[in-house]
Amino acid sequence: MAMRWSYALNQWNDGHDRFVLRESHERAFKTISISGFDAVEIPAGSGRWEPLGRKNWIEQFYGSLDSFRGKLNGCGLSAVSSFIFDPAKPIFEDGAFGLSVLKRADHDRIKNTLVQYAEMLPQLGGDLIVVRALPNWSEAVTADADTMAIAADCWNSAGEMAAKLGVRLALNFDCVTMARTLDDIALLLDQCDSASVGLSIDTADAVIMGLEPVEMYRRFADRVIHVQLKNARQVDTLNEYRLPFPEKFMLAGGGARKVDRWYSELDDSDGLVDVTAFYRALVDSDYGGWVVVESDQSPMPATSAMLNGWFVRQRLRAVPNATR
Amino acid sequence: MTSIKWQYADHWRTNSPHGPIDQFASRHEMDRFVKQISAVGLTGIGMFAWNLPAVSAMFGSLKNYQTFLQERGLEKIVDLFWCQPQATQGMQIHNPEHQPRVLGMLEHFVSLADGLGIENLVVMPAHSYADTEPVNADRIKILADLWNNVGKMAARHGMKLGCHHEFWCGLRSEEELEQFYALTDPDLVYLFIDTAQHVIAGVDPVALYRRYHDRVSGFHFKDTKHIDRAGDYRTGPDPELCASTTTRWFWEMGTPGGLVDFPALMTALKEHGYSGWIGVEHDKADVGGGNYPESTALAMWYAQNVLSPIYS
Repeated sequence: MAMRWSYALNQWNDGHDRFVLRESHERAFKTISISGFDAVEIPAGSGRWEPLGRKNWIEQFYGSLDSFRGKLNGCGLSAVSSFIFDPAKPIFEDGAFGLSVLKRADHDRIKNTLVQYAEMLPQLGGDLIVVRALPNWSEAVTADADTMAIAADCWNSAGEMAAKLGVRLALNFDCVTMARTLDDIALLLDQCDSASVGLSIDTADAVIMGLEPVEMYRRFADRVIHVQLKNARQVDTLNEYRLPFPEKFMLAGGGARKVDRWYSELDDSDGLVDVTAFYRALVDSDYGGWVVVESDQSPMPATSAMLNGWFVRQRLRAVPNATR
Repeated sequence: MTSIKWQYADHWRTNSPHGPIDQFASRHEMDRFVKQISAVGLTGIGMFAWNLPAVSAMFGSLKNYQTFLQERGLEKIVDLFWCQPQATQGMQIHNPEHQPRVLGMLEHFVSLADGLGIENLVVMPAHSYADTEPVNADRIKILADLWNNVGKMAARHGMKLGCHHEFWCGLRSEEELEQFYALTDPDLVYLFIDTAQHVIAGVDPVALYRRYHDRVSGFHFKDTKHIDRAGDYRTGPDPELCASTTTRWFWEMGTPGGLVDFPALMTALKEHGYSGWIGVEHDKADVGGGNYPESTALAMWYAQNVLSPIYS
C-alpha cells in the first residue's frame, strides 16, 4: 500500500476560540491541499468551540458527515486520515475531566467516547484513531509491566471495538508521557493486540525526550501504523517533563530555559530530526500507512504548511528510489 | 503542453521576533519566501526593479540568485516593476525635460538584469492622478512619446514594456487608456493588466483584454471588493492607504465578494490563445489581520482548482 500524506489541523486550532468558523476551516483546508497534502488529522475536542472535535458538533456545524466530507472534497482533500484523542482532556459532553487508562473504572468511558470516532472515520475516508497512550509522568506511578497491563486492557478493549468498524488504534507517546524509553513503550505495545492496536511515532517528540526516531522506527517497524512527522529544536535536557502540567509549563511556557518553540518545520536548519533519514527508513521498509505532517506551535500555520509541503515534494519525494 | 505559467509579484511581509520583515532581510528569509511560493505551484517571480541591487549583494550576483531560485523549483525572475507615484521638482514623468532621466534610470535597471531572461519591464506610466493633472490630450501625448522611447530601449534588452494602470494612476479611465494606446507603438508599448486596479477604476478587465489582447504582455491577478465611486483615486498622498471608503482594496483570488470575474477572463485568454505568465499579487494582504502566505496559498488553490480547468 502506498504511503499517504496528511496534515494535522492542531496548529490552526491553537485556542478555544481560534478555529470555529467554517470560513476558517475552508481556508485551512485549501492551504493544506495546495501545499500538496491529501487529508487532515483532526484533534478530538469538546464543547461548542470545537466544531470538528466530535460527531454531534460536526453534524451541527455542517449538517451531516456527508456534507462535511463534501466540504473537504470541494477543497481538494480526500479524507480525514485520523482523529487524535487524549483521555485526560475535558470531555464536557460526558462529564469527564481527566480520564485515565491507568484507572480501570475509566476504561469503558474511554471506549464509549471513542465509538463515535470509529463510526465516523470510514465515512470520512480514514481508518485511525491516534490515542495518547499513557498519562503524564508521575512520581507515584512506575512504568512497569503491571502498570502497562492496565493500560493495555483499555486499549485492547477499545481496539477491538474499533476494529469491528474497520478502524485501528495507534498509540502515541509524546515528550511528556510517563513512558521514557523504547523499553517502556515496548512494555505496553507488546501487551496490545497487533491486529487492532499499533504504534504512532512522532519524530519531534521522540527527539525532545531523548529518543532517536530512526532507531525507534526500526525497532517497532512491524507495529508502526501512523507517523507524525515534524522537527524539534530542543531536547528536554532538564527533565522538565516532570514538571506539573508539563504541556503548559514546559511546552507552552518554555520551561526554565524559556524555549520559544520546541517544534519546527521539516526543513529547519536548526532542527534536530534527521527527517530525510527517517523518511528513507520508511521507504526502505515499504511503510504503507499515513504520514501526518505537523507543525505544533506554528506562529503562522500557512507558512508552516507551505514550507513543509515544499520539503515533502522537492526533497523527500525527490530522494533517489523514494518516489512515493 | 501548458500555455500558462504562474509567477508571484514581490509583495511579501511576515512577522518576526523583531517585527514585520520582508524577504530581502536575509538569505534565510529569502529561502523561506521562495520555498513557500514554490510549494503552491508558482514558478516565476516578479520584482521591483529597485530591489535588484539588494538581491545581487545578498547572493554575489543576480545570476547566483537565479540559481538559488532554480534550486528551489522556480524558473527565473519574469518581470521588473517600476513606478514613481509622486511627482517632484526633479522628476516629473510628464515633463519632456525630465524624460532622459526616466529613460536613463530604467536603462540602468534593465542593464543590471541583462542575460537573466527577464521578459517584461512593467511600469506605472504616469504619476498619481492628482500629480498628473491636468490629464489632457497634450499630457497623454507627452507620456506616449516617453513610453515609446522606453519601449524601444527595453526591446534592445530583450524585454517588453508593459504599462500597469493603478486605479489612481494618471492614466486610468477607458477614455484615457484609449487615447494612450492609440498614440503608442503596438510593437513597443504593451498593456499589463492588473485585474483589481482596473475594476476599482471602473474598467472591466475582461473587456479590456478582449479589446487589447494582441498588446497584452502580462497580468497581475488579484481581486477587490470595491469600485471607486467616490473619487478616492485623487486621495493624497496614497489612495491605496488613505481612501475614504475602505482600508483594504486588494484581496486574493477567490475571496468571497470579489468583483473580478476571473473565470470570464480565463475564458477570454483561452479564446485568444494567450501564452505566457500570469502574476499573482497580494498588495497589502496583511491589512486587517490577513497574511501574505495564506493569501498566496488560497490564490493558488483558486488558480489550480478553478482557473486551470478553464485554461492552462
